[in-house]
Amino acid sequence: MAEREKVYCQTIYDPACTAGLQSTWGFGNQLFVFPGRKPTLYPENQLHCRRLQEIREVRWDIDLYHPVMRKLVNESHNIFVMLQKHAAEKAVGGSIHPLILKSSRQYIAVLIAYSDELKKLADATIDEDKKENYLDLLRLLKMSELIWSLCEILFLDSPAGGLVITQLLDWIRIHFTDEETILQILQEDRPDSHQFYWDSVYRLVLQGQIDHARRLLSKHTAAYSDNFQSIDDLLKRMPIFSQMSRGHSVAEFDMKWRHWQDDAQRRLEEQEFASNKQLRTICRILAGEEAVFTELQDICGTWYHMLVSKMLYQHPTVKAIDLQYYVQSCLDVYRNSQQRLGELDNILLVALEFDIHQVIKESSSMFSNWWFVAHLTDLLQHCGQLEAHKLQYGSNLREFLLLDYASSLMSNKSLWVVGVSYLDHCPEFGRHYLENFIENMPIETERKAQKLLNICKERNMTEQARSICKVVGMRHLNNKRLGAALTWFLRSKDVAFATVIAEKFLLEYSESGSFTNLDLIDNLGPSMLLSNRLTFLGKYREFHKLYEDGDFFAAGSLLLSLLDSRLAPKEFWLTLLKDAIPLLEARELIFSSSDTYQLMHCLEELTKEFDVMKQKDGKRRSFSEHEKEKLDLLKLGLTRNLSRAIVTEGSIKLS
Amino acid sequence: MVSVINSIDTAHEDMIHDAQLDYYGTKLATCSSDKTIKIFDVKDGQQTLINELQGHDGPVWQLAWAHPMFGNLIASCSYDRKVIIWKETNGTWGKLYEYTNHDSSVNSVIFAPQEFGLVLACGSSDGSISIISSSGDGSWTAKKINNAHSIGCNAVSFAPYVSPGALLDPYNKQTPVKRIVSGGCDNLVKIWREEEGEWKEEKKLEGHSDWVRDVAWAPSIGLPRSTIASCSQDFRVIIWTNDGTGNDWSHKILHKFNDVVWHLSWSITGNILACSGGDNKVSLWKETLEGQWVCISDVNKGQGQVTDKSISS
Repeated sequence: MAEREKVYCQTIYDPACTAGLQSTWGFGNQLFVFPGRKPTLYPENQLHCRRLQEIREVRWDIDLYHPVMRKLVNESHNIFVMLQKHAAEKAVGGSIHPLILKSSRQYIAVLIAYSDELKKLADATIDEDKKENYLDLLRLLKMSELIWSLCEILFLDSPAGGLVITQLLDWIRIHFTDEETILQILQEDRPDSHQFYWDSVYRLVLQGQIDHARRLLSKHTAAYSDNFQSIDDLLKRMPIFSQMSRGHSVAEFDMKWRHWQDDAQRRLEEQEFASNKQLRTICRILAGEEAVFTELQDICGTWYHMLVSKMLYQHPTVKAIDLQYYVQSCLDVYRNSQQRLGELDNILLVALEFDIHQVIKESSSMFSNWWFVAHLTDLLQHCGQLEAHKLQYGSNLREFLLLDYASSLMSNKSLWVVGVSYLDHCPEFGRHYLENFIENMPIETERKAQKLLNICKERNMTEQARSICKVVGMRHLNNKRLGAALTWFLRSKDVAFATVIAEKFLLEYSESGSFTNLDLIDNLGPSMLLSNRLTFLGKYREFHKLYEDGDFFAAGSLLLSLLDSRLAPKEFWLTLLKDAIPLLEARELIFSSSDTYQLMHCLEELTKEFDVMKQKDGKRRSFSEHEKEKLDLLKLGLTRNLSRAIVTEGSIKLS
Repeated sequence: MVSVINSIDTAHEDMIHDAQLDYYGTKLATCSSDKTIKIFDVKDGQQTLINELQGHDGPVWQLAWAHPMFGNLIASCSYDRKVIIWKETNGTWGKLYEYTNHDSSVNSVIFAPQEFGLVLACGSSDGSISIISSSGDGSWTAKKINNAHSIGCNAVSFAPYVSPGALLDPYNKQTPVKRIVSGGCDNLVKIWREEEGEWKEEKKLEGHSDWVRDVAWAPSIGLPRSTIASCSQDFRVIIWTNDGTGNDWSHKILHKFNDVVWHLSWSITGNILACSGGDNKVSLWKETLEGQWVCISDVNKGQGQVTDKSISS
């Protein structure tokens, strides 16, 4: 079964090139199409190609991006999520059926609400193109509603004894009532002089709107004549099988009905309405006479209206499953006229034949978006109407369609969030689709990045979260915003990049002598343990703080431990040793003799390494004059400190 | 309904050979026989030319964007036997690296999944495939598969990153395997796999009867199944699938077209394949519930209006 038999074809007129066409995927339902082709073995000089080289952006299934439709997408999403939630709860026990029915009604209510909105918008718009656009969407919603309501009656709502006539009448009434005309008629001084008076009466009778029909008849100037009273009497006594009369059995109703219809037929045979053609027509309808429906085909308008009207007067106790047997005669009536069966008719037909898969299939190809099929299929699946229809690689029809629907939302800059939620309800592939989409989601702002991160976090998608942080962090890094970059790398615990940034901070310090982003570095906390370099950065900054606060002992021991533990990178040792000079020269003795030996050892190690490097590669870095001067100062400081320490320690030992 | 939303006049002076969107679909890079590469901003329906890169001495055949975590990088390959990696810094593009180790036109270039680091592969008319990797400190190393396809290699594509065992056995983690699929003038589609730093032929797929023009490994949707599409001068597009348990690949002919199929590309979630070629048509194909491939949309060039047509299936 092809979910979509229909092929949408878009032709572009462009004489630029006939050598071939190429395409590149965009995000979601977006393609870039351009003339040209892949490498040939030699460069061709194609003069006929030296014209405009255009690339066209092609999109499809985007009618849901219309502002009104976006609202519909959002509202139906709420209904969808609610249903999934309740279904999961009810799966443990209890009947889910009332819930499904409720959701179905809610979907229909949404369709109706936005049809009304579109109609208002269309009426208020002067712009022809816009109006046409509104009307197109309106037609789409109207059709959705018509098909959905029938599917609800047939597949979701299972009325007592399988009788469907009440629901079918409601269905017809909603779609074929012409209230405006009736109001106009009632406002006339003499209602029966209105040109559509009788048509309206017939329509009401055909739709089983008996009270309204009687009301209209009572406005007739001859309403009190005998034959009017006779029709009114018949209408008044017409048995109605409704929800209210559930107490009665079908057989009981059937008996009442036959009795009543016999009465109508008798009055007809007795020529009770011979003098009034219109009343006679009404009585013929009541009597269920075959020919009268054909005569009134223009008032029914469609074969399915006629089907329901005929069922009302010929087989009021028809069961849903048997409706299909009465379809053909109705179709025949309209086949004689110019009307051809359209896609809509086909969908209704297969629905009446209870071929659910075909309904979904044909609807998929008729609607230019997946809204309708995805939601309807979801409902049908929940109420068990779809036996597991397995995809070759193991997903069912519901998920297959939901994936399509969600995918079509992903390329819209506000609807993608809704798309994410639908993917959450696709147990088999939803997550993987989401992963692929998240990876490719444009990150325009930090806010969007944050939003995406939250989505990843809620779903435990660590890979994707890391990739987002990396991308945003890199962006900051390229724009030289080290602090912001580090924040993002810390978020994703990205060791490599945290190290890179820490190094940049240190470089910045050794070049300028001061730190930027002090706030961030001071508040690293445990996250500094992510990378050695970062730990060093944090500790080194701590050293500065201690020094500034005048806590020289703590500062000194921290400095020593940074060198001793080899946490400090070699290229930074010089800076650390230089930092030691003021401590060595402090009034109090800060470094003990063993501390001083350690410092001396570090200095020796560093000098040796520099010498080795110098020998290996003459051009390699050696100490600058300024550095040499500092080193000499350091050596002096170390010796002086050592002597002070020996004396102090010695004196302590002595005492 | 399919509709043309925008059109971008690239102002290329000769045939366009490739157009690639960056990772986020906000920038479009194009390359042409006029030896240039152009970069357009295509955000929110605008199309602004932001850069033009010159540096190749022949037609530029193909482009690839690196994952944005490596910064803004584009790789291009050309008839001039070179692969150039371009890098953007503060709005200006410059050459980051130039690879000149091919003896003939370089036809195809593609970056590896970002999880493998900054790695790219290219295929050349000299029959070889190069796999070039950056160590991150500015140095580049290359491995070459010589005689990958006699007469020439037309297309290369990387397999998506799937950590092995992640699907079936999350506790048995091995190093992920790099795989490449290539197509060439020997009518073959070949799968290569990296083993201890060396590239070895893992599978030879025979099915086409003329030069293979493009190959495309489908993105992973989390199944052990792998899917590759290939198209050829024999007018056919073939879908190759592997169930993820062995080294057996089964194939199915997606469609036989009326002309050479030049180009294939998978949608982000790998469920729709776009095919385009000499018949001046771009068609979109989707696998149905029964595992059949059907055409869902068509864009073609020529005279006429928007039309709907039905095909039976």
